[in-house]
Amino acid sequence: MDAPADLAVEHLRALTGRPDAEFRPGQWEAIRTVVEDRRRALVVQRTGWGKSAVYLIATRLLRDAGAGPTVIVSPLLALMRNQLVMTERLGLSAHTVNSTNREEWDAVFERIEGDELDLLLISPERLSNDIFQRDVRPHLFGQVGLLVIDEVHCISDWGHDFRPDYRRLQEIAAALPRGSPVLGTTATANDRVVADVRAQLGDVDVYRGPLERESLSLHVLDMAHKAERMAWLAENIPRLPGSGIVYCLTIHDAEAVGEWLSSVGISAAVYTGPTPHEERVAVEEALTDGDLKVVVATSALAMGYDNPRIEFVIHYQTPGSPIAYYQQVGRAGRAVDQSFGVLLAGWEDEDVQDWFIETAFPTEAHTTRVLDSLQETPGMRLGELEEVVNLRRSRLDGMLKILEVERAVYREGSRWFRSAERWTYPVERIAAVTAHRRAEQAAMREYVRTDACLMEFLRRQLDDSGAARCGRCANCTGRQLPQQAAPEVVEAALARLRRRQYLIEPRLRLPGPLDVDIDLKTGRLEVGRSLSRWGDPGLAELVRRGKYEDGRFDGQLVEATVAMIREWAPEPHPTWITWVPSTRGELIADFARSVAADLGLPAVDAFRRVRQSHPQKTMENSTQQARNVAGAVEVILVRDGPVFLIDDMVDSRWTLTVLGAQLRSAGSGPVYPVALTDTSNRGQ
Amino acid sequence: MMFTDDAKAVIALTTRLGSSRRPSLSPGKWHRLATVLRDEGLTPAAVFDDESSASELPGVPSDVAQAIETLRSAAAEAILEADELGRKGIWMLTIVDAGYPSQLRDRLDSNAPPVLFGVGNKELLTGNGIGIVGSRDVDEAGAEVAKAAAREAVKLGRSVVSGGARGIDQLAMNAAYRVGGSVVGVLADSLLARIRKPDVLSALDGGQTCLISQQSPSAGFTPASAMGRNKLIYALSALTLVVATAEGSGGTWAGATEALRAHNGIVAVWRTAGEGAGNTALQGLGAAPVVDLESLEGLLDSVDGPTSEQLSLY
Repeated sequence: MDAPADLAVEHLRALTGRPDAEFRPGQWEAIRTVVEDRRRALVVQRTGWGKSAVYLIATRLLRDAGAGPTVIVSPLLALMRNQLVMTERLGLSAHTVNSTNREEWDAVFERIEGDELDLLLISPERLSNDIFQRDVRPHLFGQVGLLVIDEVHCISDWGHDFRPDYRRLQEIAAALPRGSPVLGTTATANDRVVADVRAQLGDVDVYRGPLERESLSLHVLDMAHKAERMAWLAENIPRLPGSGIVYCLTIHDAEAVGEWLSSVGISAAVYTGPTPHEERVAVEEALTDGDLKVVVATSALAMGYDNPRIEFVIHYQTPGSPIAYYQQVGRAGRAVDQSFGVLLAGWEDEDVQDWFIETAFPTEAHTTRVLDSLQETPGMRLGELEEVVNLRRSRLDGMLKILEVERAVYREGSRWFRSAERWTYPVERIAAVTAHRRAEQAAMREYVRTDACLMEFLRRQLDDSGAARCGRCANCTGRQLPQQAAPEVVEAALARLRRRQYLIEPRLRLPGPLDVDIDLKTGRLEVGRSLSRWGDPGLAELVRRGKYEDGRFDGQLVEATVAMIREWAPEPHPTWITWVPSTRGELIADFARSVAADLGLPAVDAFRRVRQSHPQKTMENSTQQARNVAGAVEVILVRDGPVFLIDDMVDSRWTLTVLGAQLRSAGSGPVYPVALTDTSNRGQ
Repeated sequence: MMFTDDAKAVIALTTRLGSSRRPSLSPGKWHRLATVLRDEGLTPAAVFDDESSASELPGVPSDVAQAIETLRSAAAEAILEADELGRKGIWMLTIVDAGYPSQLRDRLDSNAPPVLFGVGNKELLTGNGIGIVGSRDVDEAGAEVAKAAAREAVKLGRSVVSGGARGIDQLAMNAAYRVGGSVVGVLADSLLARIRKPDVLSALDGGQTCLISQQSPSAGFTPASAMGRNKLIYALSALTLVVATAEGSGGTWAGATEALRAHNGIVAVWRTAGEGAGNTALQGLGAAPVVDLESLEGLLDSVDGPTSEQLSLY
């Protein structure tokens, strides 16, 4: 080795605290590429391989050679905290700039200006932030010595994790002056993603290593019903050594599973997209410290957590792609001798995957509507767009973000404009990405069925040239985990699914002017209850059958609703019951009368339909839904006490909200909404 | 937008993108620097290299050298602001790009703008369009001439090049657009504000419109920017017809006399009903008189001869 290499090894030893440490194959080569050749490098190596050593040592060497500071862009907050500790061992001064430390930014910029900072860590969201664009960027990218893009696969729109914010990185990388090195790192990329990253970052040297995990033993169990899988988790998690992660496809499933595991005495926490930052940190620490047996998570945890002592990763549902699965299951077994990766495949998995695939892109009709509106009325706000486009706000938001990346629209403050670039809906590109996701879905189907080595299967899917039999998975060893749980535990899980109640939170604000005169200050709903969640087995399935097949609701639903109301016992307790009039048939009226009879309360047919409305489920946002229902019915009979207002399905809550307010202004007491099933947030 | 290193150097040195306080080189200063570099066998991107020490080359004026010194840190920011403009649909053509209209280099020489900002179809910048210019305040007859001239240009398969100002400019551009012709609008200012207008956005729809400016897209109007705009119209057109001008003053007069002096393209002047007070004087200074719009075709043939493009057309 030459002199710089020797120096680099010394830094490695300082960093690891091991006097005999040597580089792994690829580490020094990657360092040399950015430090000596001032070129761009892409490092595809499994988690724990030592990617951070590469950029920390490269930073040390570059700084000693007089280069500007390194900027690390990473979505990993946990990583950031770990990195700050590591940097001190190389005498590097580092700082993060994120949404939680706005008051420190100025001081950080001053240190950058004064060339006193070696390393700056920022999250990709910062790059799109207005303040960051205005205040930070001008100080930063002119003098950056090394740009590190962590989880660089997010830049690829072929990847399952494509993030619009990452597109700014492509621009930044392209804007950097000649001789500014860039280092992209990821643990999860196949040939296609590598090619895409290359296309975005320009000519890069690729350092790609084997993705084998020597301690991980993979298993697959096919268990159709959610209750079976919940029961299996309850029985088997306590038998597994150490702590681990249970991954679910949706937030709702993660919450249900987390609750269930806690109820059977397993110390579990839930970690999903909406989990606030502080709570995430607390959960991560509790898991690291061994205070938690298991974290039940969605993919929100996939990139945000880096704990080498995870001993099992169980999937409650099948992820949509081998890359996503490898990325999540690869969290297990980094610094432990034996670990388990278990996939529990359920009957609903493909439906949920389908939903993600089908809603990944906005439709051509919706985008055309938005673009035309912005052309006619430049500078519309989100709320104004919502009025003209029938899309729920989160989808509209997502669409605008995609259109922004596509350069079809741009934003100034809260106003949106159509770009002067004539953008056309990329039919072929979308078809290609969708076909690709279908192929990934098919690969996961095959993974569930295959008799071959599971690890080898995954590595092949990631184009790992060294893929070979692992000798540890269920298919290699023939040793299977228990195939099913005890019937009484399954029964308990089923009961849990049935009993699970869902709150109906009142809407507090009207989305805009409506045809009817209602006031949500005086007429808002009380907090109500929904008996089930659409798509769950158990009661929700009975609701579906009653509504779409049998034409009447099963007696079990009446019993369950009565039980729910008795347990709930709202105060002041309703003295009468009414229902949302149906456009066809007496289904819900019959149901409400049965519930009323069992509760010993009068059933009152309070509403009359005065005009047809469209099915609410065809209306996609608040404004459209509220307008659709407003004025469609009128109150013809009212009592003055508190009342239960019953409907079969609740989604946007606008029907219940508007009718509830009409009841209030007609003279009723507080209105408690009750629904048989909640169809909102399907697929989230 | 992807820029070559040479293009990045041009943008960073000659615009104020990224920081309004940054020094920027005038077209003339830029031209001098480019000449020095070329004589050394270097391309503009050499200003980024420490080794070539572009700022120390003989013949580089001190203020240019200073601009080069601050370039490394300024360039990334300038390019990022260029990306911001790209997000809004504004592209940039630099004098070193293959798509830069060669006619501007040929006719304006050291005054050619190093960077053009634009929206719409840049393929329209072929140089074979017909410029139609005139004063803002135009009488009925003049307005008719402007519109008829625009329609005649479309009939001849030429785009209409004009300034986007009130009066003759807009009448001509709208008339061409209405009959399905293509339009090149050369703006003196405020490109950014322009693309917020619904009619401008819809004019971009069919790919028949191109708006360009040598001013930064957020810059406002100045007399100098208007003069620069006029120069570009003449330089981008095979022939420019002055419909009506005042004598001895005003933007149209100044632009036309300057074009005649600098031999910047062919200047024609309308000499019958609808003409302005200065049209006679303009003919006296060498502008070709036109009394019949159908004579434009012959006038064009005489100036640019049968080009290969025309041969393939006919």
